[in-house]
Amino acid sequence: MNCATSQKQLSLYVDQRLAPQDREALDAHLVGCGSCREALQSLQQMMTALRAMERPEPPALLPGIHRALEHAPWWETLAQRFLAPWPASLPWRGLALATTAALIGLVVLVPTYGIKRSVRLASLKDGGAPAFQAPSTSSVKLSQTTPFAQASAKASSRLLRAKDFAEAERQSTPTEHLEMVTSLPEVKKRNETVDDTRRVADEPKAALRSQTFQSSAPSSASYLDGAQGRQGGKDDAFSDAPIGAIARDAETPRDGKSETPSREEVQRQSGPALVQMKWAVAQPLAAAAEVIAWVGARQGFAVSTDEHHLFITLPVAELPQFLKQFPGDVLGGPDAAPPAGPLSEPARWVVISLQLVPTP
Amino acid sequence: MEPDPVSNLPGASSPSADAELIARAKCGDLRAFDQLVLQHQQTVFAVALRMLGSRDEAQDIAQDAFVRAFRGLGSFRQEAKLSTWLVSITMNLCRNRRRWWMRRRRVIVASLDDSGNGDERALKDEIADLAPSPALLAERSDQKRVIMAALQTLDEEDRMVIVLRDIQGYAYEEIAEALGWPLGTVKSRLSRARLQLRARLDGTL
Repeated sequence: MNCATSQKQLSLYVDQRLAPQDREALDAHLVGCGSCREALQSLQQMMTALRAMERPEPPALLPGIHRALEHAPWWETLAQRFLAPWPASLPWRGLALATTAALIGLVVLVPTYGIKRSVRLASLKDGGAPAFQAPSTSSVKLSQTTPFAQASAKASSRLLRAKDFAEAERQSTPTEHLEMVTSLPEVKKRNETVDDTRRVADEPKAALRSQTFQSSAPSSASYLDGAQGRQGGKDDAFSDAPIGAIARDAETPRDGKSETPSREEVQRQSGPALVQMKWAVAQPLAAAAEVIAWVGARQGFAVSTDEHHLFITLPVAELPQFLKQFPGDVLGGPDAAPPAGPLSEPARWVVISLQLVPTP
Repeated sequence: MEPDPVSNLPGASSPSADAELIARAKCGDLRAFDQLVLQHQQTVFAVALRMLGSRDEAQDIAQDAFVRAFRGLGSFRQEAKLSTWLVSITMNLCRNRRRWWMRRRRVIVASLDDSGNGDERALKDEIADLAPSPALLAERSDQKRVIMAALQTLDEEDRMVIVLRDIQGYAYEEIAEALGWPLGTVKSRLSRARLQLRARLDGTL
């Protein structure tokens, strides 16, 4: 036996996994070869050291596991949508179906486009619209995503009006009052072809409309302060927030159901406010899925353009509940600076852009 | 197979005791699952810690592994060992986590300061038991850090096999099952990995 073969067999030798004849041959070689004996000794020394590594005491894992198990994973939510008995009325069924379609679209979107880093926060800062406002002038375009996602987005956008307004209104019954000021975007006329928007733009400068919410989340309080302060001097930042999506969407023929607010009704409300928050999480992808599931269960709508970035439309009255559910640092309006990188730790956050759809 | 010198370390639960708990957990009995967690958390956490070198990461991965295990209990084959299955889930999660880091081109800094609370406690227990000299303790702690750092520089597969065999004490067959490798691959990988690690630790032990 030569030294090369011997060295290769040492590992099996120390584990007593060599065939008897190989073992004898190696034993014989070791007697006469000092360097192989040294190698064996060194190997045994290393293995002793490895075995002597303390067995680390794990931290309490159960609370975290229970927390995770309490939140139904998104696929279960999805399954429930299919399996749960629906009330007979047609709108309900349509809502559930379309939401499911939107969710499926998102599930396809997140992994496929999640790592596309080209679609950045910066594009949003340029005054662009959230990605789901497909045909708008935004630099974040849905054309970068799948046609299916576009369809889902449209369907879901419409959904917001059909049902969630009513539900949002119901939920907005205030208990503890926090003042939330949403800016009414001074819609740039060049952006809009819809005449009615002028009415919005012409509304008084005090286009700050007060709404009350119920919330106990401290983060929402600080957010509200921040948003208010910001809007004082930075109305321009919000003025780019496009109202187009709603206006356009309102034009789209719908089922003609009476519960659907008309274009005028929508526009009488303040335009969509867009705020960003940074949510520190352990696992961005899982967290994103959790947010999507949560919003999806409420017939809101979310779309991701980046693993770390979620755009979510939600009825304004749902905001306190949302902030309570996903407490994060509010970065401010659409002009908020993206979180600075590189972080010292591997990135553990999700940037969430909230587009608040008015309560009629 | 001949008796394994380092297998069956204390703390491991018996497969038959597991079987009953698994059956109950499959029916949605969370308390039974909690029992399983308590029995196996040490192993799962230790594997994750050795693979990733950070207690926070390891905690994260260990929790995730159990959550996935609970959700996937239905697909667990009763004849397999639960600990092996859990280890295979943990290893996959560790691999994904590392890839996630790599995608962001972040330098993986092996946590040389791996002396979190748990390890300190273990260290204190050791002092109570054996009362070694402080110098010896310091030496041992240094050695541990050196080993942890060297481990993190190994190839993913090399690290896996060293962690499972030389630190956790799994038998070749169990490693083959946990990693889904043929037995021959386990043998050759282990041999290679040991040579690599020995070269990196040369003169420091």
